[in-house]
Amino acid sequence: MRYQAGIQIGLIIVAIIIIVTVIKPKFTVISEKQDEMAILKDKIEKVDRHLQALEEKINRANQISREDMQELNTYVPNRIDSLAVARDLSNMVKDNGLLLQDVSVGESSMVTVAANSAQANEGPMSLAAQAKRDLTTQEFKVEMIGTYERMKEVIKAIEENAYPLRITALEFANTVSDTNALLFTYKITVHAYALNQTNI
Amino acid sequence: MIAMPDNNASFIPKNTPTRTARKTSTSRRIYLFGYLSYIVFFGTLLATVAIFIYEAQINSTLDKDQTTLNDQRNKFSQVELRDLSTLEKKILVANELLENSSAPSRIFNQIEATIAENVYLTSFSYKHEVNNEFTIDLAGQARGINPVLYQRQLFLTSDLFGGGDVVAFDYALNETDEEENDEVNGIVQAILTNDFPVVSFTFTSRNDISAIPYEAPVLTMDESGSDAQDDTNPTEENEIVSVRPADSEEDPTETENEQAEAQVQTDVTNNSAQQSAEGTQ
Repeated sequence: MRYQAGIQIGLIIVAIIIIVTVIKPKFTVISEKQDEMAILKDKIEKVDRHLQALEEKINRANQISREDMQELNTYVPNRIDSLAVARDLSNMVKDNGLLLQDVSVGESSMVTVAANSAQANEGPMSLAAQAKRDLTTQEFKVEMIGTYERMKEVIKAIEENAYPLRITALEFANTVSDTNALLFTYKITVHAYALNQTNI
Repeated sequence: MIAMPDNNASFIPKNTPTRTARKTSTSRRIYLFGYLSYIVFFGTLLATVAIFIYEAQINSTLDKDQTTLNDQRNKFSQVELRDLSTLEKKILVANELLENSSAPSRIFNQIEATIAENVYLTSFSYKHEVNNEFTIDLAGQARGINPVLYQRQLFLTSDLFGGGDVVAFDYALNETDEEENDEVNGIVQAILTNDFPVVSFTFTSRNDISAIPYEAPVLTMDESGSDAQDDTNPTEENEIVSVRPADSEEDPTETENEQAEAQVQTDVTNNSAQQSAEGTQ
């Protein structure tokens, strides 16, 4: 009888040891793995959603015609070809019958407003914020001589250009003291834009 | 010898019930404890086995999920992603640029509609500010203060210049070339000829860029399938200027310069002719 009682007590002690050394740590491990599994499932769902969205976007992108894509690439080029822009400005001035005096190219810089908004976002940047961050601009200064009516045509031509040329400054003055003078010297500052490809 | 009383006659029972009862009680306690200990032990063993099996299942599921995730991630083509990202950014940027686009040419239409006949504008300045606002500075001249006051009134009633004001003015007697070295004679001459003084003024206005939005021309398709202008805006002004593509290698020729110079020469001639005609009148 004494042995039997000893065996029973021993069994309980062994059970307690198993619980403490095996079962309890296993529960912790299993709990961690369950958490990991939940995270993984969440990731899979997200990736699945992204894949679906990606597929939709690919389909939509494929529906864009080649002409539209070409126009978009012209409207938002990957870099500013300063020489080509200067040439286009020169053509616009000459085609509208004004005398081009000077075209100068300023330094390329990031768009100020976009840079500020990008700094304000401390978290992960949205695509819109990234797009704003990557937007670069270059300044062009044009000086030309001609009549007021012809200058208006040049301004319209700049506004209706195939890629955006924002007129940021325009000034002209009657250099001759005679108020009936028809010829003026015009100074125009124009900004061209591009989406910087280095950060993409 | 003293005779012992007969044991059978004793009232005390031969087998004491207490002894039997104690025996039963002890064996039952050990029996329950034994059951309990066996249950606990084997239960622990079973639980251990079950936990190992469950862990194995979880590991298997985890591996499967990881494989699924990796497979899904591999489905993302980096090139496609980059292209799409670029495309979306370009669309966003194009939209942003279009939304914030401005047409300073509208200002001239407003000026022409607002300016009084007896007021001459001598300089114009337009500046696009960083905070999506623009400033217009107009310098002009008029004969007397009343035309300037009237002009200011016209400006203030217009949509585009409503927020502006005349920020500076200068009153001076009109001096002809002959009299410019003789101020007293000039004044006397001005009084005698009933000449009006010249008032120079500067008008400054600040407005939001949305006041002069660029409106792209609307193109419609005609029956033949070619692009045609919208009937509502059939003027040439609405045609999109097709700028030569950036990759065209056409050099700027001297002919163009000559044409432009000739045009300016023509304008100058016209100007002189007009001035001489006015002088004759």
